[in-house]
Amino acid sequence: MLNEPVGVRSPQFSNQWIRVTPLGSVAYWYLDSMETVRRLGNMGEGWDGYGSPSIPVRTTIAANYILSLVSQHQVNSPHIAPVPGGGIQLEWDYDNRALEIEIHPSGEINFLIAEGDEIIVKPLHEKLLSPLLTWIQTGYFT
Amino acid sequence: MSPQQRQQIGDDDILWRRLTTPYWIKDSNGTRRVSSAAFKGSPHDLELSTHAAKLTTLERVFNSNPHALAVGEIVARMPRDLGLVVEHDPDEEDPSHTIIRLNTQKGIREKHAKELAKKAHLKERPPPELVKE
Repeated sequence: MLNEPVGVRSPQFSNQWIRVTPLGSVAYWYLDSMETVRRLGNMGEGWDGYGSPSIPVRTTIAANYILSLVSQHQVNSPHIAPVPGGGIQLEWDYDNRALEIEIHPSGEINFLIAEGDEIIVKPLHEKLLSPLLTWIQTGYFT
Repeated sequence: MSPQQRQQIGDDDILWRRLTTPYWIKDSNGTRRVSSAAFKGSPHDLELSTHAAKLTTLERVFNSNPHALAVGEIVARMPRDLGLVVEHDPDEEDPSHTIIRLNTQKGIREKHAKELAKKAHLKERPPPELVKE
């Protein structure tokens, strides 16, 4: 069971399997995080009590894709939260550092890093993921 | 409600943001905190609903719709220091309703949400056996 591969579909090419993640190589929290994303995707319209639209399928697919990449790093489980408007965000806090990855319903993905009073928000590219995860754990970019 | 019935919200006035989903409460380095997602709003709704503590009670906020598991407590000065407008926006059902007008620019809105979440104090709904009848 542990080595059973899990396929992840690309957010852009939803009919094509582009990645297979052997479960033996992923973080302990990976399956739980996918279950959380599934639950968020099942929340109905108005889930926030203020009329937010539900979270579109493409957002949950993108969130699962990001989680599959993150799960291959030695990083703690992210806090996963729904964002009004239909987004999903992943959050980590280490000491005085914070990293957030927000998947917007439009398909756009941004990251936010905060250290002390300094906060930066930028678009996320896949190649930035590894340095960001290293930074949140160590305080250094590699 | 007419503008005449609107009240001034002072810089030191306490505002409560309802946390209507458990996913907006996170464990941060062993402490339960408010997720910035609770303060983000959306491009379609740039008025973040809060409740002025001086015009209501925590009990009332917890026991009226939308259902809240907790509130994120801030003071009006915090969003104002970020350049955001805070104004009393009462309605018949909720005379304490107060809005924070969020920035229209997405990246800035995310930063502001993070700032507010970092400063917000989490107040959780008491367990049912502690709630007064």
